[in-house]
Amino acid sequence: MNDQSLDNLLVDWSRRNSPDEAALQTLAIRVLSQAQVLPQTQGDPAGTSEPSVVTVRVAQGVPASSYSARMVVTLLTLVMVALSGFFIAVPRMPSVVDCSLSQQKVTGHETQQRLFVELNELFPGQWRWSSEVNGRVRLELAEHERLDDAGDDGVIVQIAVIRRSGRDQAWRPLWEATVLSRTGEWVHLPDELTGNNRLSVWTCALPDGGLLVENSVALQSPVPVTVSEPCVYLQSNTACLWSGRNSDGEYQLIQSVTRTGETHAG
Amino acid sequence: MEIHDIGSRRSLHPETDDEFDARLVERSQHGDRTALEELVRRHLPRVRSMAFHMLLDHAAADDITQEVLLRTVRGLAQFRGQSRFSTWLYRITWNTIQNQRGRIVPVTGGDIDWPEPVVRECDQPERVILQQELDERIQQGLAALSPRLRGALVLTVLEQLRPEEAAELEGCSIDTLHWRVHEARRQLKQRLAGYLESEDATDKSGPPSKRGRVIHE
Repeated sequence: MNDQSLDNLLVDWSRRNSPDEAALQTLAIRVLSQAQVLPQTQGDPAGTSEPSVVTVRVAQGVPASSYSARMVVTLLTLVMVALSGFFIAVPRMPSVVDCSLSQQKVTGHETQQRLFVELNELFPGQWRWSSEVNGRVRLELAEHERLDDAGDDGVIVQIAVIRRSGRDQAWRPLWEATVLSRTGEWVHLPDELTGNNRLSVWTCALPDGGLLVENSVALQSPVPVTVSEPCVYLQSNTACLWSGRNSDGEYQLIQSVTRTGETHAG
Repeated sequence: MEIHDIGSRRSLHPETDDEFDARLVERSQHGDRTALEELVRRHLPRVRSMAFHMLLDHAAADDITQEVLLRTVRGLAQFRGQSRFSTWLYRITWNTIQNQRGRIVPVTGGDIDWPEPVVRECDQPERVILQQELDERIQQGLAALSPRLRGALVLTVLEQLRPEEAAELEGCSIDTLHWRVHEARRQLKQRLAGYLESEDATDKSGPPSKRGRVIHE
């Protein structure tokens, strides 16, 4: 048993587990399609000192009293949002068979619109996203002022696992996550929020008015499911990303997307 | 000069690689999207490889690769060429992996849709099964290593970086790096003892392996 034998095993393992060229090309296309809409910034080169996740920070130059008052307002808004039932609102059933878009909208977006405005005023240029997963709320701020890698439009993405025990039974939510962010923002929800589940969402406003939503969902509970699927929404809507069945009933992973600017009409 | 083979990262002379990178970077900084695309395609396999070796999760590796390259694109205007582009990129990659690693739970069970490992040059069913079992054991062994030990092993053995490059990324001296590689190998050998013995026996009848730069104690 020598080092060379071990290294050979490792290198062979690596080779067997490497994606093929087609997979690499697909990944390259994903990156490049997103890079096309991301201007180069003059900020700190990413990776070396860019913060990943920070908690709420006080913006420099903001008087403490002003900050405190506005923070209270925002926290109250967050509580209102949580209490309003918005986070547990479940869209009506999307199509089971073909996972096509349904015409249903999630309610409660007016509150999210207010929250979007508040957060932008409270943390100008620094607020990145906020999220709620099964009742736990997270606010994400950049350490420095935002540059130009995200748009000014807000978007609400809700992802939920729902279940019904029979065809004549109502759908019930088992797990829910809501993300409020600007379009163009790349949101990775941290473990503190999601536990063993993983969720990333990226949205991009398209020139034709549509919205590209690319997610990466890897849930271990309440049902093990992995989905990573880009989807273009021409309007606010709800889509079924996955459906399955076991002895406990039918399950669906659904995604609802709404632009904050559309909430007035809704 | 155009390079279309995104998998050819190790086939070119290092100096040529660096010079070519420098040209692509300069063109990219002046708004040449073709050069930017080439730059991304050229380095994507290496970034993805580093991410998978450290995270041991294909989906997470894809996410990190995407994030790293987008960060690189966004920060390209700040790159002044004071170091090699590849060094800069791998520093971003390594830092991003370190930042993300705490948030990612490697999955070793069968609940999640793992991509099927690609099995090549295996016609016999029993050998396929053995190889899959070996892959699982290797992956478990790597997952059991501490991040520092795994990092040292990944950078030197799998990514084949020079010791000084690996030590810089790991933030340690070259001596410490050598010790980490040694310790990582020791722990892995314990876990893979049975497989290594059979591998040794197989190797005696075959040609010596050609693996490039590898640190050996």
